[in-house]
Amino acid sequence: MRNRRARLQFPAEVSGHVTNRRFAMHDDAHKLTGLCTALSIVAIFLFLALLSLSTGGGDVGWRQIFDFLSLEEIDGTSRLIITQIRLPRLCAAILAGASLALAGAGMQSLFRNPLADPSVTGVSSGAALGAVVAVAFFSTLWTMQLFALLGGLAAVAVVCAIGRVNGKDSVLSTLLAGIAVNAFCAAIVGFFMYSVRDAGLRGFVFWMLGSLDRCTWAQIITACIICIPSGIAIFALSSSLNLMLLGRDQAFHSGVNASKVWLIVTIAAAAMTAAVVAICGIIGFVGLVVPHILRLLIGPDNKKLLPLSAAGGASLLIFSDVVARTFSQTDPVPIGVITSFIGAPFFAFLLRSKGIRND
Amino acid sequence: MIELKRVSFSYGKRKILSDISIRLPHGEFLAILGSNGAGKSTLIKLMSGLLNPDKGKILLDGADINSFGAYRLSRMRAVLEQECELSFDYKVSEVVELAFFGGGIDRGLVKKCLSEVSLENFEGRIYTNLSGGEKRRVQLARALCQMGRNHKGKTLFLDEPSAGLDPAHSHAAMAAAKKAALSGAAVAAVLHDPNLAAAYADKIAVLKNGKLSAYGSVSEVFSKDVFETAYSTTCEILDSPFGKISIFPPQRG
Repeated sequence: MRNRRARLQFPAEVSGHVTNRRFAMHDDAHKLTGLCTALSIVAIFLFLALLSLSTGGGDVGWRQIFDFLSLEEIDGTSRLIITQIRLPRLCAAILAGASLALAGAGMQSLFRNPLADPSVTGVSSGAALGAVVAVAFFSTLWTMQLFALLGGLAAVAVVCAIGRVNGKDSVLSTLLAGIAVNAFCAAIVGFFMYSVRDAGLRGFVFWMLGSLDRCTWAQIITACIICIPSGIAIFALSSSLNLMLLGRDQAFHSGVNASKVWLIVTIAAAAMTAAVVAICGIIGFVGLVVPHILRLLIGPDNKKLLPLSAAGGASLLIFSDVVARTFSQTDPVPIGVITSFIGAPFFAFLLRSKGIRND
Repeated sequence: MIELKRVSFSYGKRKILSDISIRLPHGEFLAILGSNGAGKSTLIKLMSGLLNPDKGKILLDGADINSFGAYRLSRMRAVLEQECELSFDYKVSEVVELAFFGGGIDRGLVKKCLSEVSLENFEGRIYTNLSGGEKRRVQLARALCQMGRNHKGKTLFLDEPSAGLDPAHSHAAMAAAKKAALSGAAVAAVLHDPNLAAAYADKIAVLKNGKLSAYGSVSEVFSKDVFETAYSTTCEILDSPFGKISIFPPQRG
């Protein structure tokens, strides 16, 4: 009876039209918010990149940076500082930030777990262990990348094996397995640092807390060769990753070759993380916090989330590096300390105001 | 049409299904009944191509179902699984739109399918904030969307479509499934309520300990003996204005 009265007041076509118009307006507003967020992230990224280039030791400021970027003549010392110190550092920050955030976003969709991240799932520490073993016994760039990759893959394989209970992926078991693998790998890295060679505690801090101090063009290019194809592979599977959020079985029913997607994304995320760890050590929190923040702002659709996570991760790491260098230009604070220090409170604040999207 | 020929399946050493033969032509609604652990969900997983049988054959439109790739299968059949949890804040419309993997989104169809499960004004709502029954209906709408606008020649598998739904919404969900069958789809649904099966299905398959204990038209299968054997409890069949209904008397003390 109540429905009937409602129908008499609002004939079907009229009420349908009003509803459609309301949703169209809602969709438009949502698209506008998404576009504004995307443009803001790109603008922040460009500003931070310029800020990073103009920050640091030597008499190289905004003026020299703009002259350099507009291909005008600058003095030799400034050119050297920009091309051999600041630009590699900026490129390493962009590569590491984008890769870690992308790997984190991919793993969160794959594991259907908002807490999945290369550092939580043990990939980072496994890669660090691989890299440290390579440094101790071989000491070439390629063997370090290879061992880091093998270490990362071995760690994720162990975590997945332990986290799978009775044929189903258990979130709790996966996280606990990640903690165990992290602790185990960190212990072995610590043992190597103190007993083999290199600079003991300093080396341990580099591997466990991350740093952009040691990045050279050769290292960055080597890491790019691994990270760029891996990133493209994850981007290409963004629609499949949306369906993986429904579970592997339902993703298969919906047309996704779930086993293939699982394998490709796991290997790509592990490879990207390992390549970054091999040149910068473990930089925690980027892969966890960046996709989360963006998900709260633009929603969970991986087609938008993945590219913006890459830009957001790069921005966070550039900013963290600028802050690290602001404290001390000769001996910067480990960048992993800064990412966690910035990321954790911001993450907590956003979680508290999650109403952003729960309209 | 889907045809199971003497299908058996085991998880490791544990035998789940043995010697199951079922034939489900397009336009027919098959209800699968049985007690907990009888193998109903495994049967749906086999029929939908997710699992490979240990023995026997499953033919979808005349070809071995496991010979089709995931994408090809998704254009031929849709599946509603038991689980419907999501960890991230998708909108209801975004969840339903996942049905269009690899193709363009038909927003009109999304609205139509949501309306079929009585979720007309839910498009902008956040999925994770919905009740269990509402989530179930959203997933049913997604499965219906995957069937496309033309159901003819397609197959719909539903694993407990009425789980967690109130009586009105159970009937709405079953009516949507029946409509798909009437428009030319083959529909197989795992159900816990024999009365829902009698009201909507054309045929009933009853599983007991992984074997087909009864299989036939509703009038052939809907009996005291069949249900007492299947559920190992007392059952009475009564006449009602809507046909025969089954009653399972409460167990005292």
